Amino acid sequence: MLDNTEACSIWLATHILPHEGHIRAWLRRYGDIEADDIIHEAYVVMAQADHAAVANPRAYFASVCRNLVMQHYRRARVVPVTSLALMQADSVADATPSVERVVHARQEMRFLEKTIARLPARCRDIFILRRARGLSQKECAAQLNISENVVEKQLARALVFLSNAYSDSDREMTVDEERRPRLAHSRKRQP
Amino acid sequence: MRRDARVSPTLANASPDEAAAGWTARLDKGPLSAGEQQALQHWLEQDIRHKGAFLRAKAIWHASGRLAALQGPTAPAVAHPATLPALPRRRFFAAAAAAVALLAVPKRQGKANSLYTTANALSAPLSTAFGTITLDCYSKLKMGLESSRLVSGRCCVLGRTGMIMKAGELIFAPQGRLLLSCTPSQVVATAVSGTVRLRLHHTNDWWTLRAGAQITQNGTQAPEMRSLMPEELDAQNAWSLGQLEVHDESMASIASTFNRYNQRQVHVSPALASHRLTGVFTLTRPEEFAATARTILGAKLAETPQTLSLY
Repeated sequence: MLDNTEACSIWLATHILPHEGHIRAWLRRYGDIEADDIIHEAYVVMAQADHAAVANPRAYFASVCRNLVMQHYRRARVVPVTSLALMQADSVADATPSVERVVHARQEMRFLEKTIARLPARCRDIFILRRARGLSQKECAAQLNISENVVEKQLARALVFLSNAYSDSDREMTVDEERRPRLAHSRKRQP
Repeated sequence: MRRDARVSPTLANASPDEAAAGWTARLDKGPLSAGEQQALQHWLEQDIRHKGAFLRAKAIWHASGRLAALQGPTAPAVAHPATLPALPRRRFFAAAAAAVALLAVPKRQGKANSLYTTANALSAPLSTAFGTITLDCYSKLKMGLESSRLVSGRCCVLGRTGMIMKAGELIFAPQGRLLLSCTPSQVVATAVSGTVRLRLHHTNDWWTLRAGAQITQNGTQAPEMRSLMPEELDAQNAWSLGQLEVHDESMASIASTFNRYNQRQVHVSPALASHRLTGVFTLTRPEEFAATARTILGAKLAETPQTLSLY
């Protein structure tokens, strides 16, 4: 599974990651489960899937999580009645995305930019040099006159920061009707 | 969940997400040693959630690579102080200030140092021997024989070798396009293109800002440097191209920006004030903005030669 990470990571990055905030918001309603654990297990299940056959990745992600929550309850000795009732009544998470809750690629790009803008200055500079400008870790270190170990640690730090941001990305990743950018198509650029 | 100091080459006592980030950054650095490979394998097999965290970290790493799509193959944005030879002194600085043609003629005062001020309009580019300076609205520029100083407001400098700009305690030698803004407590400089060398007054340490980098100095504190994202850079540079770029901004805020740049004032009714728009407008054409608000928001428009009222 982990040998084929390139194509798999791209698929997860493109089709799953943007929906994570929404799925986590749904998982948070179940007070007695650890959302992180469910999400991590879901990534393992989804990495093994036949990606070409997944027509609606968001619904697929939601149903994988729902099954894992069910498994969790089956294993648990005591299951709160409220959680079971919620589980049976709940169909929100795997509903087809409505027009109001579509993640736009542009919206995700803005989310990334905003998140990176919040990184501490040095961490941000290193991350931008490496990921946006394509310098190797060695080149980043030479450019900033710091050791390669510092570059590696700061990149890891940026990744953790992004990871937390994706976990809480429900609000930023979705565009409701009133806030949807309306004039993006009419942007004029100076030649 | 068990925590293990060996989970990552970089992070001790790490959570699965932290350890996964550490391994992802380590793998990006280069091939793993046999020992590291074993440690990674051991960590992955310890718990299925470790595998999930690792897959997720790699997905986030890939997602962040999309930033490169916006970024041209430019030089790195930040360079740290390097001592450079002093700039050549130019004795003959053309008295170009006298020859400028202005769209909105800035008021000029004094002789040796010409003081230019703008009201509610951009200036046309003011020519100097070493480039041009465009003043934003409500800004003040002192143009001397050897250097110019932004006293307050904003300006855009298109400079070549020999151009010296000052703002607050900072001295700039731009070779390319530089945006400067200056208030009594803060100076912000952004290199839009080319390179900008700069130093603090009374020091001889030169810094280099490359395209996309921004330096901020608050009061007497040490300057802070950061890299801007391409979209941020576009938005900050828009005014100097005569454009107003807004992202999800309220009608009230957009109207107030138009009103700073134009005689003809836009009034927005309270009912419309909190509606939000995204788009690019021409700074000097509030009519275009009013027409857009009519089309998009269904607003009504009442026009007089001096005002545009949206309600």
